[in-house]
Amino acid sequence: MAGLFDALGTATRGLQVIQQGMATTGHNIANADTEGYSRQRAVVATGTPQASRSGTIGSGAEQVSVERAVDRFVTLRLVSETSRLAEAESQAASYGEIESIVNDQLTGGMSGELGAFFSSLDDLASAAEPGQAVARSQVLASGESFIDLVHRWDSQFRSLQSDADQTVVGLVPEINNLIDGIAVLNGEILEAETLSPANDLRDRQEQLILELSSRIEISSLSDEQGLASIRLVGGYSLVERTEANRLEAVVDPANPNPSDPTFSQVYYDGGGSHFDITSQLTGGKLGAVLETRDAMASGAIADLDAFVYTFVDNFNTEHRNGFGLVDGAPHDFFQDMSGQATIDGSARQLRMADDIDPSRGGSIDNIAASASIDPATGAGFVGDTSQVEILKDLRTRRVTGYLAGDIPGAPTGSLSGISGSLIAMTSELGQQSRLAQRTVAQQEAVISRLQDRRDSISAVSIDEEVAGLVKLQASFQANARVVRTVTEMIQSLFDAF
Amino acid sequence: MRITQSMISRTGINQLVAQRNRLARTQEMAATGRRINRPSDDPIDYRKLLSLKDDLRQTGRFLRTIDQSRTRIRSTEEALAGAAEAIDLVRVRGLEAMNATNQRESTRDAIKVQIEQLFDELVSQANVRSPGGGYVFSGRASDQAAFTAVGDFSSGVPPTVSFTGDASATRVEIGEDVFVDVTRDGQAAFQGAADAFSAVTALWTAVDQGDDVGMRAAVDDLESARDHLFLERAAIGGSESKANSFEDRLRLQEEEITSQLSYIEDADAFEVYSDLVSQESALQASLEVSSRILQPTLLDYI
Repeated sequence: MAGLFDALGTATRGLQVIQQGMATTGHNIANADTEGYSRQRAVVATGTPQASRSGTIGSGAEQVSVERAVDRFVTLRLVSETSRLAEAESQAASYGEIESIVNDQLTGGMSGELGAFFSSLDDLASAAEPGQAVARSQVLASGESFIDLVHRWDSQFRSLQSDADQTVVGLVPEINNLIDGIAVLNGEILEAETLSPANDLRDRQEQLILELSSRIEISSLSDEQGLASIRLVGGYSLVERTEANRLEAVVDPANPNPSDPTFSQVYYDGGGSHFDITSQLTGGKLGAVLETRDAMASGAIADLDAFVYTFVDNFNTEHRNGFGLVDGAPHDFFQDMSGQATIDGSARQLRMADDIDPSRGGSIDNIAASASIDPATGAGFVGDTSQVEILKDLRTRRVTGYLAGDIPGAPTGSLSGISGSLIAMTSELGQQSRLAQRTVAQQEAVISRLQDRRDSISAVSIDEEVAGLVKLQASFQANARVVRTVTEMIQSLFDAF
Repeated sequence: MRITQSMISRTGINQLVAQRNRLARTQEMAATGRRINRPSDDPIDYRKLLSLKDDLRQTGRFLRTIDQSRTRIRSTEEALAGAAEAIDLVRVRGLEAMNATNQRESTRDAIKVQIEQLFDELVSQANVRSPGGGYVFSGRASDQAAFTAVGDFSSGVPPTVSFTGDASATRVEIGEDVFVDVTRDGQAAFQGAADAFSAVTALWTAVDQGDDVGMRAAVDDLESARDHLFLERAAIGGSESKANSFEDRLRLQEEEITSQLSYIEDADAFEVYSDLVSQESALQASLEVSSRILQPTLLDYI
């Protein structure tokens, strides 16, 4: 039979449950603005009843555990979409940079320089003075200015590329720290959960996984004990229980980066093996930066090389068909690059031919304006500029273009004009930049919707917590009243004797 | 759906960021007056824009070439006119010499001196230089004199003139694959129909010898040389009118391209400013809404 003291015990336990509830509510309110915090809820159950002859008497309430409100599906989606957003943002930033290099709208740009070069050829073609000395030096000057801009583009593309390499080197330790953190938390969770759910540790781990996924695309699974198991997209395990397999940024002379041997490759370091997984890494900031370095910037450099080589090759061919004022021998206008193995690096090596460049002992009189030899002098006619007409037609004449990696003398591109192919090149970059910006906007919308879903389930609502506080306060008062009443009853029993 | 404070604040902030982005874009348009400020603003139109600018530059180049060629055409034309005039004056002297009253020795000598002066004038017109310094009638060999006179009238034997230039006309491109001659082939112009120089010297010899038949023949030759120079002058005049009409066409083209460029590239000022105003007020509204909605919780009422 239950006595008064049992009732006192029930009420005291009630007070305890309420105090624990207050602690959880306080914890929620305190963490209302904590990144990645999931609200917690005290799970209260009826206490074990005591059977007696007069029926089963309840023993009040007790707190069974503290749960956190999460939706595992939303968390998983957030992990994969976060890496997509980070990738898109980083790509858009890179394209934005390339675009600002090639933007013709702010400065004269490449098509302006090319136009100025062809303008100087026009002046040469219509120059009236014999030998066209002024027009010739104009051609030299605008040719050099065009070369300067080609070099500037090339070096800007290359510095974008090496900045990307620096970022790769910086990202790898960050990734390793996160991997370590997740593995360590796996151990702590395992230890803590022998007693009760390790809510806060799990929140922290989920936050680390999200951060990791913003750097590289991963798949996050949980094993039978609910511990996080993290893999790269290719299946390489990064975290398995408490074991962390790290990445490493390596400059390996035996396995150099194709575009620059000083660039780092990313190696996977796990299970006793150590090998290059650079080409398999996708997504996240690292994936985007690797793409910038190995595809986007090197593609822009290769496109510029192809454009420069196509232009130089065709221009020199026509230039050699004409004659300067010095002799009847063929001369190049730009320094010949046909001796290279491939056309790669043409932009960097572009310069005036030795025969033309006065600083290398050449002369502007070697510019082949004349189409025929004056029998009186054995050199080109001083008043003839008909070869220039042919040279300036190259601006629009359709020629077979070189593509990246082509061998000099064997162009594989399609037929197009020099000026047109330059325009196509810059507007293609604009197109890609726009696409990247769109992807960011779409991905931001997806992430925002997912975060809303997550918040709808997991975030702390101050309104709710305050209402809960009022409720807890009321039941605390009620339980306290029970204690007081029981105490008074016991007192009156004492008074009766 | 359960709405929490963090959702409201994030939505509010995202919206504010998006609005500020739009405002920045509109502001850029207003500041530059251009709708396209970078390739990604409109890749398709950007491509058109670059081709149009390229076309515009090309048109400008042709216009400049026409401007320059006009000077060269004029100097060719003036030289041909001057030469024709000199030949005509020689012809008139020839006619005077044939007159019976002019058969006196002193008169013939005076005519001879006049012919000598006109001969020099003719040679100097044939060797005229353009403002750039090139010999107009030397064709491609513009640094060499077109005609070289050997000998002197004082020796009793008139000088002989030979063509030492290059027998070609200079042409320039004034439109895509459209060329005009800015000079004439000197040899064809001065020695094509009848050799203008030897016609003059023949007249001098005939006057010197009082050879009436010779004078008659020389005057005929002078006439045909003069007429030929008139034809040459008409031809170079044709070049000029071709250049002029092409210039008109290029100017039209330039205008057309410029208006197309402006249509593609320029921001519509009214649209931009009305956008600016509406985006500004939208931003102010959401700032106000956010500040109201973010503050209160149940706590304010308990």
